[in-house]
Amino acid sequence: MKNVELTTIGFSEWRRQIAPLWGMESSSQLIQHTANGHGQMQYVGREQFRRVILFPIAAELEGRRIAWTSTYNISDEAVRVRGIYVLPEFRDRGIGHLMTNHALALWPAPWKRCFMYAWPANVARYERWGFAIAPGHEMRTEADGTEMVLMQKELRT
Amino acid sequence: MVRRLMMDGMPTSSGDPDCRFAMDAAAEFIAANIGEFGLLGTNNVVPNDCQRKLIPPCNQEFTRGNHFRFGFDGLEFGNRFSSSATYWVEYGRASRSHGGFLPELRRALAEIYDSYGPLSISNTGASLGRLLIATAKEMGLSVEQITVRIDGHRFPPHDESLPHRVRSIAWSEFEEFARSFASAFGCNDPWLAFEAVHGTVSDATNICSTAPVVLHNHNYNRNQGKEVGPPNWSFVDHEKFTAVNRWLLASGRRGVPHILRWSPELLAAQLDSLARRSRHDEAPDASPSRLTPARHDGRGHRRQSWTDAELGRKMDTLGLLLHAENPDCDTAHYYPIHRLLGRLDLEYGRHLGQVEALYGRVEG
Repeated sequence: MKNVELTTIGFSEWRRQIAPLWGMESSSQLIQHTANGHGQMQYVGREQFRRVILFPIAAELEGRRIAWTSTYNISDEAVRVRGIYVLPEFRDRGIGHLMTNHALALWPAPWKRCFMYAWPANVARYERWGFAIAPGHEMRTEADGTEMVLMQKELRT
Repeated sequence: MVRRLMMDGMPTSSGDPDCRFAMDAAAEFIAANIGEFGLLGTNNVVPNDCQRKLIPPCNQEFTRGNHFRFGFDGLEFGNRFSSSATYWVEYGRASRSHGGFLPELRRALAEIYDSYGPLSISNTGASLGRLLIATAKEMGLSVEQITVRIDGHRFPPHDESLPHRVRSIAWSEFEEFARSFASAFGCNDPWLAFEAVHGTVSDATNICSTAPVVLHNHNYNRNQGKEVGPPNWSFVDHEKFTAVNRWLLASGRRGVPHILRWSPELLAAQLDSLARRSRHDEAPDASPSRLTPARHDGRGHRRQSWTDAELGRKMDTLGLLLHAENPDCDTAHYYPIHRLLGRLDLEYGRHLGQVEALYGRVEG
């Protein structure tokens, strides 16, 4: 999409602006830098503060923030994309895809694989983006009833 | 504020077959970006939003040489000051092969006794507490059992042959303590506040009977009751279990809140236990409850509630209140088991390589 600018923004404003994705508008301060409920983070202890790089990303159109995502490394070889949120009136215009490609392009060669969790309604979309359900993985159900599945994409072959 | 990425030092070659080069390139990229885009980097740091007080520096050994360490973001042995602070734990390396669970537990009790003198042990009815009391008795250590009776509720039996001290407390008084404990030290589990009360009864160093050793298979989906992916095991440390440590430091009391983590060798003995290994080998995809020996399970401290259903219900209700009042203190640190076993010089066998192959290596 023309005229969309992709930028990296401060985490504090990122979590405040992406909070509607998770229904946390009134509690955005609880949004953690990384999510590790399913044991993907391979760094441990204070190593996380020495090794994890987090890029909170936003898309802007004519000066207005319209979409958000983030990416961080879970090891020295793999990264995760966490949260892809496009304002409703700007959906189905390729902005999410554009933003995700930008996020993945930030990582140099040693990082060769990317993971994300997808809600059922988005699986087909992410498959078009080159992601696939991780081998051996099925849809899981969270405590709040939300369903999601682990998807992955090879960044370099 | 829009920021530009620091891409200085970013490697440009791709597909290099030399793994060493790849790791060096990763380190180079991290070094170039960590100051701004690390979790504590200038772009990602968040302001404090919790009203908790600063805790005095750690001045006691919670575990041998404090090999087990915890903290929030850059603060060690401290309180949570930001709702989104990352809770972390670290474990020391084993310096020798373990000698089995009971020998290592006896060694731990002897070391604690040598350091602290006469001890007290929480008599909560938890299986671990009963094991500690029996082991200390067998070793001839000077220990005192501590029982806290909540008025109107049943309480666990104690060993009649050992010294015993009792404190009675009204439910309203306990509830007030639990709410204060939760707010000040970040804990929404009233059973841990109950454990802390035991530490107020005597001046002796109190050994808690909580802080279980728990492994978790992330790909066992409790809500579906089945596996939803290949085994992915982590060693779990909930931040609530170090609330007692924070309370001890703030109150100037001495205690051992994590006896099962006293030394790397004691931890290794548990993870290497025949039962745990065999259950893992037999059922690599099993649910956590099947993997965890009952003796060390996460609900041992709730035994008292099993014998007094009304107390259990009141604790559950109080727990919901504490959670609502302190929604920020419910996180956990998940230690990939293959990495922890490496520190403890243990190997689990055939299943653990899958995780590293999927999620990637960490150098060092």
